[in-house]
Amino acid sequence: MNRKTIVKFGILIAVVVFGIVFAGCTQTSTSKQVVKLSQTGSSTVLPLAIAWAEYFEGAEISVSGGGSSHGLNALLVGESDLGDASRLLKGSDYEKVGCDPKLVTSEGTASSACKGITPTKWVVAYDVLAVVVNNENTWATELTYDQLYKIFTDDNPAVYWDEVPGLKEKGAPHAKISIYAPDEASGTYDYFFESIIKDWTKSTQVAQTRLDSGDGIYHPSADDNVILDAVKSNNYAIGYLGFAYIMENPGQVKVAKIAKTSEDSFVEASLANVAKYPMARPLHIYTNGIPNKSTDKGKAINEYLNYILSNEGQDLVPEVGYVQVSLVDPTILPSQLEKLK
Amino acid sequence: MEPNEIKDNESIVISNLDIYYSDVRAVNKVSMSIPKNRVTALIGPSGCGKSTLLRAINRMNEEIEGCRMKGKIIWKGINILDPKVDPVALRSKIGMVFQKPNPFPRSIYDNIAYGPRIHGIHNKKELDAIVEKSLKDAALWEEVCERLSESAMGLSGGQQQRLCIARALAIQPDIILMDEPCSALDPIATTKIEDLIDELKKEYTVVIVTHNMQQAARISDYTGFMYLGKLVEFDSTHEIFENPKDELTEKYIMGRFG
Amino acid sequence: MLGKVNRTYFNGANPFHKKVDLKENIIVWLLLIAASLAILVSLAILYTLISGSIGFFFDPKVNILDFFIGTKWTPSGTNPSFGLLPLLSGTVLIAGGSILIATPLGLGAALYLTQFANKKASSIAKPIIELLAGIPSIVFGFFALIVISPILRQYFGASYFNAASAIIVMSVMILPIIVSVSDDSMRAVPRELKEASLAIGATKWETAIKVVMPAASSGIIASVLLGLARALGETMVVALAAGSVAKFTLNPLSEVQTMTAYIAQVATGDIPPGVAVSAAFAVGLVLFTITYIINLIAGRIVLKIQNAGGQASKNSKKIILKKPVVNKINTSTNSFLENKIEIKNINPEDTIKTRHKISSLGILLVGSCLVITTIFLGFLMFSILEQGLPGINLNFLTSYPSSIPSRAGIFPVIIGSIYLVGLAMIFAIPTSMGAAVYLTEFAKDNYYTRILRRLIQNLSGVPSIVFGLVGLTVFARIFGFGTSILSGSLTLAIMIMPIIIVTTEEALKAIPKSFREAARGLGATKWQTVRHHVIPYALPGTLTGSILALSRAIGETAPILFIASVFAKTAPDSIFDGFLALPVTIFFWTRHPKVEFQNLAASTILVLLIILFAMNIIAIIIRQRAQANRDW
Repeated sequence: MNRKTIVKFGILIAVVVFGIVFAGCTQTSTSKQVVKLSQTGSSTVLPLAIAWAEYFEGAEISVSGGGSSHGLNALLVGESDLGDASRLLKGSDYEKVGCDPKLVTSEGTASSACKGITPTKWVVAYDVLAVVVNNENTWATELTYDQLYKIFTDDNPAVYWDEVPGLKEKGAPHAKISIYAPDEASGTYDYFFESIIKDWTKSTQVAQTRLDSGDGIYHPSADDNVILDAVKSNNYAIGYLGFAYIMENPGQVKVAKIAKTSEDSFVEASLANVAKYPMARPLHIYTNGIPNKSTDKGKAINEYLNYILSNEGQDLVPEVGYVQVSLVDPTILPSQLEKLK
Repeated sequence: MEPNEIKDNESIVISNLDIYYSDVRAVNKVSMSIPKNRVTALIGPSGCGKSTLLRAINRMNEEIEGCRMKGKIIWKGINILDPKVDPVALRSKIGMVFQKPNPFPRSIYDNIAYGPRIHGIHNKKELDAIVEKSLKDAALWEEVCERLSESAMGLSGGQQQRLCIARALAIQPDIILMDEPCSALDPIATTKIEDLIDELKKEYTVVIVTHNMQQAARISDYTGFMYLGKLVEFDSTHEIFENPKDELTEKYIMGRFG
Repeated sequence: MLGKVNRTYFNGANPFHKKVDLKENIIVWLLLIAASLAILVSLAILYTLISGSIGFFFDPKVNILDFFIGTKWTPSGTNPSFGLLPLLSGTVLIAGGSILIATPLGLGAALYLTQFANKKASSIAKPIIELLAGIPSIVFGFFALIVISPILRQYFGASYFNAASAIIVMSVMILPIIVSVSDDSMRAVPRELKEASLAIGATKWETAIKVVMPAASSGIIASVLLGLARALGETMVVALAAGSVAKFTLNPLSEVQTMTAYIAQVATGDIPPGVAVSAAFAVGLVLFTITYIINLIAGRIVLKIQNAGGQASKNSKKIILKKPVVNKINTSTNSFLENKIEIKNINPEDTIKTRHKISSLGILLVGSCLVITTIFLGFLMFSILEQGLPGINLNFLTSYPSSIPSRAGIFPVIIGSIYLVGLAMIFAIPTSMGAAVYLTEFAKDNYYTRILRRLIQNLSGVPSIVFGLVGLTVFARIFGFGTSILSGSLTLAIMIMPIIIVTTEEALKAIPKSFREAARGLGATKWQTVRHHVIPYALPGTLTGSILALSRAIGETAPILFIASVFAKTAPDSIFDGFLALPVTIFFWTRHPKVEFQNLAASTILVLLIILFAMNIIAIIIRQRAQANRDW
């Protein structure tokens, strides 16, 4: 093989590759009239978004992740048509793009537009937060918010399992607690601590998370599969993560039943129980205002949202491991659908 | 140094040597006797196999993949081509100087000391002595004695080549092989080295490959003329140049080709 | 005397005036622009870091002294603490540990490949090792977590997240860089030097250690630096396996957080704007400075070695050798031999047996370095094959992504990646070569140029997530290219440029000066000299850099995380379209709750490696030819 042959060979390969590429391209450019939409944001919402985008016929939607912050940011700078968020819009999102953070309400809506974009919230599903312990753990299978507070925050925290009030009686050993859970960049983290720490993110916040205090007990990970594996491998571990992971990997860990106070009954984490389960967080999609049916794009977004909130769209939700909106709050869906008309 | 006895087994006897590079035969059934303490020159046109033959003596050929040697080279009673002979040990007795001066990118001192250090001499005083003697034997000492710690790369071409000669001498070899040592040098440097070669033969056996016939005529005692891998004629230099027996030899000497 | 001279160039004008060649000037300007691009990127990143850091240091919650000597890093919460030492120790532990392991292993392997292995073996082994460079870091991360960590936990009592698992896999990750670039350097050592050593009676081992390695020292050090830069900037492996809790410790069995992991956490996460975010800038600045200082020190070391060896730099700036090599001779007698000391007889027989033993041992040692590398690679490949091979079928390769694993395919992902990486290489290779050529051949070797060169080297140590942010802000938003292939490939291009620049520069430095002098002596202009007599010989070095760069470009997630999509129904039509890419799809599927998608991730990794190998093979063949043609 001399140089010329190599060059010819190389050109041949290049031609073949680009041939395949262009063949693929021409195949799919049949319907040139289809509207293209972009959807980006939360990695929690991502599997759902893909399912919806896949089955929705009215537009070609390209979906990407990057986190709730990125999703909202992309929406506010006009880069993306739909912003997925596993949390509410915050003042800091406005601040990041140079608008006044006080314009954002505590409901996660905005009283005023920012740079021409009016973020509008749509609740599209719910995510059940499961608190998990190792399969060998027999004493912490039912936990109250107070006990969670004692384990996960720095307010006089328990170092050993038997220091947690009420667990010694259940057979808790004198062994050190290890926590494997999401890091502070995750929406799940935010929601979990909002539930158990009073005045979370306000200046009057009563306690810090054990991660923030840095005592080394809380081992964060951005990957939920890793959290699952960590809790599975450590007898004295405890953690929390989205229920979807439990659904797909049954039997790996034990899911604790949660009660808000000691008077309430303990509720098992499951899609069926979601109305009574205290830790179910809403998942959102944000758009620029209520999509206007007069433009092609507006029409497509409107139809897409309609699809998501319809029975068809909502039927997909449990398949991905999340909870249909109607199971948690039956009133939201109809009112949202009204807005779309 | 060893006493200058004339032992018959001190000359190099090449018998029926074939050297192949893959399928090409570079040296074809060459037989000759290289006498001790004399300068033997190998001449011939490019590609005639003289360098290959030279490199067979210290088995440098083996470093090239695909090289095979058949035949014998007897020295000190041993066939040095025998696989049982350790080429590393052999090369410690043979010094080689190459066509292009190739000093190591180190100080002058370290270049000379490289060989002795490898052979286990680490004592400062011993090394100093060897360095000085080698440089003196290579007629370079006066020029560099005050800058031994400077880089060898700063020397002129002729000085570098003499450095390489000194480096070869430092390991106290018996034979010195030179592969066109002057072809990269100017006439003045060449003259210096030719004078040096004349001195060297007193203590060493010198084999030199050269494409410069006049050089061969000036400095060698014996000359072998090679053509296309074969040894055409081998005789005392005087005979080769005044009285060539073979027509090919005569033609080459006359400059009809080459 | 000779009558009128009738030659065309003596047409009345003074023939000795300097010819103003427009073409020559334009070309030099183009090269300058190429070099400037890399420098511009460096300066832009530096500017961003400095301005962000100023914001950080002036925040009331931050105590500057505490930043530098504090041992607690808890940036979030009501009572944050910003002591850098834990992050610093994490970085030093992991990057330092992996370089300590990878350098001897890598140099040993390279030494074996170039000096002792037969041609066929080495021509196969090197590409295989370079294939290692293409395995996405996420694979290494999971390997560390799932395979290495349990062993460490069981036998050494390590915590679930520990630094040691990261160190081990990171060493293997940077090994190909060290092997590849050192290999190039060692191969470029002129054959005559080796022959001179062998002819003196040195063994192959002695020649390799005492002649080849010192001669190749510049390239060897460059390779280690590139490896170190990679280690310093690595995020994915560390975040997955080493943990996210900053601890001030050098214990490899404990959990640590590195500087890059923190920066990545801030960049990809939901941390509200505030002091915790601006802390990331300060951390980035420290990282940048550390890389700069390391490059500075390494540069000095190279200069020292070169001066000891005598390759004069253009300035011939003399650096005093620390140890005097030689005793002063007695000036009165002009001789060492004051008392006529006997010249010691050299008896090679005394030492030859030991030398051969050492030689065999040495060769065994470096050979085993190669074997260890191969075994690890084999193990890794086996795990990937085991998990991923079953999923590869025609359906998988020609379908589009789906929420249903059995229907999901990666056709548009493959297309997207090929477009992306192909375009990135088209941008990066000429610009990098141009920059390297300019810096080596045309720029004056002064203080200013050296700083510029170091700035470029620094770029290779910047964490890839930073490039992701730069790409999003600059190309997608400011330039307005949006989340398109164009933005993605430009981002990748600036990320891989430093690698190609460094390897090309090393190759250019290895070319003997005589080549250039010969051409100039014949009247060639500088550019003509460079184009015909220098660049062709630098080609192998550029190709090595390109191969390494390609591996990074195709496997890195962070640079395109914000630009690539994970789902689409059509393949991209043009470079302004959105796209999917292999590493991002892999990243998404490994985090998916469904196990089937995790298996599909493994299949995708296999496909990525096959594509990488195919793309590399051409470069490798060309490089082998170019190296064979080299005649010095």
